[in-house]
Amino acid sequence: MNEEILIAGFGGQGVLSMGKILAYAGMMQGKEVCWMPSYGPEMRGGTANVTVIIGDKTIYSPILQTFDTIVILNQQSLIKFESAVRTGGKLFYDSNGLKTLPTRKDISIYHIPATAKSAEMQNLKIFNIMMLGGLLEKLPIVNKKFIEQGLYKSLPERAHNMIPLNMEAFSIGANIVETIHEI
Amino acid sequence: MKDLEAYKKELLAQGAKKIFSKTKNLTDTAFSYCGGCGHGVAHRLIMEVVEELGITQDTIGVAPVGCSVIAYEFMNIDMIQAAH
Amino acid sequence: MDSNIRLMKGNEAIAEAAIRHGVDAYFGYPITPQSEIIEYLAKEDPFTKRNGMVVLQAESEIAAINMVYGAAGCGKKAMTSSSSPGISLKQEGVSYLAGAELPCVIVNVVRGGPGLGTIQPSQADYFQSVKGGGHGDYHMIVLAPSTVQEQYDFVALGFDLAFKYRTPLLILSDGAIGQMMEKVVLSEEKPRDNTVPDWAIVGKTPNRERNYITSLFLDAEVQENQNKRLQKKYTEIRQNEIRFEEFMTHDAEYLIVAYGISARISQKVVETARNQGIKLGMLRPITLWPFPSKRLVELSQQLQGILCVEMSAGQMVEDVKLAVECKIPVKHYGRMGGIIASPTEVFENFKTLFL
Repeated sequence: MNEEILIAGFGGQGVLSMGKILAYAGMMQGKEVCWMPSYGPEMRGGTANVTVIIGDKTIYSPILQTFDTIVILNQQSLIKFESAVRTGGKLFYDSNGLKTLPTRKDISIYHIPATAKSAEMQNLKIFNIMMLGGLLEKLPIVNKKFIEQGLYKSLPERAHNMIPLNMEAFSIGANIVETIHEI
Repeated sequence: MKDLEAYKKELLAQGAKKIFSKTKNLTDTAFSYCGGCGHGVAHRLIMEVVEELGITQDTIGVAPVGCSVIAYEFMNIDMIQAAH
Repeated sequence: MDSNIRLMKGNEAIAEAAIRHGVDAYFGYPITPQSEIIEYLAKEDPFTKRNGMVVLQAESEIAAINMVYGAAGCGKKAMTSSSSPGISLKQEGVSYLAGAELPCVIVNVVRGGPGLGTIQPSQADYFQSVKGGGHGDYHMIVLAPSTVQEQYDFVALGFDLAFKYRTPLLILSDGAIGQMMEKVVLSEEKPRDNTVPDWAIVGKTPNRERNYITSLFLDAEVQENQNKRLQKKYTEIRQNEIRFEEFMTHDAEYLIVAYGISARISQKVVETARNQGIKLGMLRPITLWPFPSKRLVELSQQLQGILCVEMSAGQMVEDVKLAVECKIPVKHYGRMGGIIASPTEVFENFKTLFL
């Protein structure tokens, strides 16, 4: 089966790179992968989302209306995409900045307080990898060791000294993910 | 052309001396430019210079737009016609 | 992991393919959504760091296509790329390339139009690509990739065909394939080949006649003969170079015809339909010109209807109707201006139109 994932939030939050690390890791594990960004003129502060498909089957459409898993990182995305999770699917969110919370009962819902935790660690840049840690804890589609390799591939060399910190954040993410509702 | 060759021979036989010959960088096609037009002279001069400098093998002509677009009919070098 | 397997954007795949295939020169001018091609080439700097390939940002799209014309005249493998408005600017040059019978590869990563349009993906340049675009009776071979791997592979295939037939060739991509990342299996890097065809203008040597390259034939009879020559070549291309892919057509009662990103979307539609017991298949033209008309005629014997899925107001649908001579219902569904129809949307419309 192919897992069809959407990650949605603000530009500058690391939405696209979170998807890219996931896609790299999947590829290194020998899976079929596709990374499809919503691209536009706006970047920082605008809405950004990315579709990542990982699996063993040939990937057909990178354009989808519904998804197996959605990661929600801001209020606009919650409004726009909560209904796009397929019945039985998974929704992950960070409550930071959310005025409402997801309400569906036919999907599994998980909360990853990654903004608060990364602020506590005084490094908001590791927020996205912490989200990824939480996501893969509940959706183990790729092995953790490939995430580390994916970081080496997707980050420029000058940032490689940050990889241990990122992997720490990844593990923290896996620990702080809370199950709100599971089916 | 045959007549011209015969005429040349005749003149040489009469003791004429060859004081000018066409550069090999021009084809045998007669210029079709209008009487009084300087294109033909310009073509010949450029082709003579190319021959004198010995750069025929390193020269590519670009035929422009206008009457000289058919420069490749006359210039015996590698040529390409350019856009308007 | 094999270092020849990479995760790449569609645009990057084209750029890397150009270097690895030993292309001699790329001339371009940036425009979204294809700027990664020139960006990648500039960053790789193959002229100094790899195989000596020339990468040049021209002062305009028009300059770039005319640089391609010059380099192609010299027998070199030259390419350019742009997106819709930039491709419109290049059309004069494309017509000259076709008229002068010069090989080259042009990439159009299509965005929504008309006019300056949007930067989002579209397929509305189909007519321009397959019916001419520039002036005069000519065709380009048009290849339509639908995966990032094909973006990579079609550069080499494109140059092979362009040189085989001495014709400009277009890779008709779109913003979605250009921007998305997929796994690409790279071929080995080839050194650039310094041999040039015997028609190339490289400087006349005493032991041969001069070469000249022109699209100008002032004598109408000579011009007609040149046109006849071109048409003969196009007939040969039609006979030999039609490429397409079929998906679940063996027992299909309905058929989707789609290319590029729309074909990917339609594959999902076919899968959904099959899960519901509807016998839907898909034909994906890989060459948009020459068009796989013959295969459509064969398939139409078993079909009750054809749906063309394109991100346009309906352009390829005309070629499908011509192919099957309107003997079965042929409908179109598509979004315009940069909106991509989702598989769900296409499937709902398929059901409304046919069931």
